[in-house]
Formats: sequence, structure tokens, C-alpha cells
Amino acid sequence: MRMETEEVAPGVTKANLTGRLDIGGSQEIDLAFNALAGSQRALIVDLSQVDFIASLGLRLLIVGARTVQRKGGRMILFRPPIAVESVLVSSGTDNVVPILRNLDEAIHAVSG
Amino acid sequence: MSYARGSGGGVIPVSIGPRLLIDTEEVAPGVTKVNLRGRLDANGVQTISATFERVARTQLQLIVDLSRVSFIASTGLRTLISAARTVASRDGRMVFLGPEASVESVLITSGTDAVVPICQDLVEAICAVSMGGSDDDAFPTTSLSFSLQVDRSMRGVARVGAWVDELAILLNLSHRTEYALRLCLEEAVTNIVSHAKPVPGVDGEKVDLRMIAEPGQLCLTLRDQCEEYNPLQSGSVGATQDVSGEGGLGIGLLRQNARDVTWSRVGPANRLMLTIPR
Repeated sequence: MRMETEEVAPGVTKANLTGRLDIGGSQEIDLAFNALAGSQRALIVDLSQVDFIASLGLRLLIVGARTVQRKGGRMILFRPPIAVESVLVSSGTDNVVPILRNLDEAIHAVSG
Repeated sequence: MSYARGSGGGVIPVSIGPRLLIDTEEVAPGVTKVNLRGRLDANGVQTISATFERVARTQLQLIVDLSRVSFIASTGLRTLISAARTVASRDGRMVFLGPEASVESVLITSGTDAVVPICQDLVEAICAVSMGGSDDDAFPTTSLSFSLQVDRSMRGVARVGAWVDELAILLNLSHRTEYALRLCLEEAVTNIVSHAKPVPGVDGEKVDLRMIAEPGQLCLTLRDQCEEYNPLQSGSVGATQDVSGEGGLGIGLLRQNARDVTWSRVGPANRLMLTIPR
């Protein structure tokens, strides 16, 4: 599991996750992701290279989103593959963190 | 000389009668049910072995009713397995019917149930021995069994993930099936790691996984020797109320990706069974 960050607009950070958000993967990036969520107010989490997510991965994302939201910030999930999206939706995670597929839209949503 | 329990609870000698009784009946056309009654120990085996072997040599669809067997020893297991091999060598089928929990537990821990399936009711047993008959493309020849034992730890969960990688390649699973398998196993094993409590003096540090891969589905069984713990009772199906809360979410996901999810206490073991369509 890898995580890289880039600034896609002024003040907007995109975290690019690559790999499997299974138990091992979630634990690998847990610390770095929490630190990122704690320091950002506009966060896009790019899931396009994540091919698996289970409950621990969902918790990671939800806790991250709540951390950002608590500071009045916003977090968006970006372009999950269909299998991952279906778990995000069936678990209700998309009610806590919106899913978007267009980068401009995502930037607008987190900046708003 | 054999013994039986008297009404006062003491042991009194009984002058006649073997410790183990055997008789057979035809429960469906071509399907024979062997009824065993008593203790399948060394003495019991001696009294029935000749009859049992003859039945195994002559029948192709054999149900061995264990519901009135109160004890089984390793000699008993050997006799049963040897009979199953005899039946299988002629492309026949043998199953066990309705063993008591203590007997079932021995069949499972010894791995005997991998060779001879255990059925809980007669209809299921008849279907199991009749299915496909000797047709070459029927499910027995295409169903494959896999098993894995892992530590009851997060490292064990990681090992399960690697196992899914192997199975996906070996069985050429679709992405969707592989995803569901990975998710269900990860959630189920994580649950055992996080919530199961070892029984003092019992080795509860392992989790046993078995998967039977059939053409249309994957049947999974997970077993641990910890204290009685039913993960399905703690799992709320609607995981939306508080997704970040403890519990519930994983089991909710598991239920969405599998069917026939059942838990039972079998002797000293927790047994979780589920089926994933493929």
C-alpha cells in the first residue's frame, strides 16, 4: 500500500492511494493518512488505484473524513473502481464522504 | 463381556449383546442407510467390521447414520474412512448422517469430514449420495477442497490474504468472486482475532479454514477452539448508523457478499459457514 500527495489546486491536496486497503494495507498507511487528515482542510482521496477495501479500510476513510470535517474542512473520495465503490455504497460510507468522478467537481466540492 | 449403565447410574454387567449394532435399510431406490448404534471403539469395530465392509463393497450410494453412535475412537475413524474409500473406488458415494456434537467434533478435527461429507438430515443425505451418480461431469469430480491453518493474529489475517491470491489464480476466479472471497475471509478472521477468547488450557491460537470450490459457488468453513462466540449476533446488517463504531460493519459487509451465513458451536469449536456465489 502506497500513499502519495500532490497539490491539485491552491490549498487542495489529493492523496493518491495505490494497492489494497485490506487489513495490512490499512495499517501501513494508517498513521500517515491520519496525520494528513489532521493537517488538511480540503482533501481529495484518489481511490482509482485501490482494488480492494474491507471494513478496516472503510474505518480509515471515515475517521479521516470526520477529522477533516471537525475542523470545518471537506473530504471527497475520488474515482473508486466499481467493486470498491459498491462496498462504499453498500456500507453507507458515501453518506459520510461523497464520491465524485470529475476532478474539477471534486476540487470545487472540497473548496466550497 | 459387555456392560451397560443401570438405572441407578452404576455399571452393571450385561450378559449378551454386542456394544455396537448394525443394520441396513433402503431409504430410496439404490440408496442404503447403515444404522450404527453404540460405541465405535475397538470392540465395537470388531463386531461390525465384516458386515460394514460387505455393505461398502456392494453399495454405491451409502448413508452411514451416526445419530445413535455415542463415541468414536481412532479405530472407528479408520473403519469409516476405509469403507468410504472402498465405495469411492467404484465411483460411489458415502456420507455421514446426523452425528452427535461430540462425534461430529472428532470427525471434523480429524479431517474425516473432508473425505466423507456430514449431512444433518436424511433428504440432504439422499441428495448428496444420489447427485450425479457416476456421470463424469457431475460436481464431485469438479469440486475441489482447500484448507489452511493460520495463527489467530493479524499476521494470520495477512496469510489469509495471500491464500486468496493463490486461490484466485488456481481457480481462475472472476474479480467479483475474488473480491467477495477476500472480503468475507478478512472480516470473518479479523472478527475471530479481535473478539474470540481462548479457553484456558486449550490451544486456541489457530484458525482453521476450509474451502470447497464447486462450479457455481465457494463453500467456506472457519473453525476456532476459543470460547463460544457468535459473531453474527453482534453484526448489525444496516451498517450505516455508525460506520466508524466498533463491530457490525464487517459482519454487515460479509452478509452482503455471501449467502447462507451460519454459526454453530460444534463440540469445543466455533464454526462459521458461508457460501460465496461464483
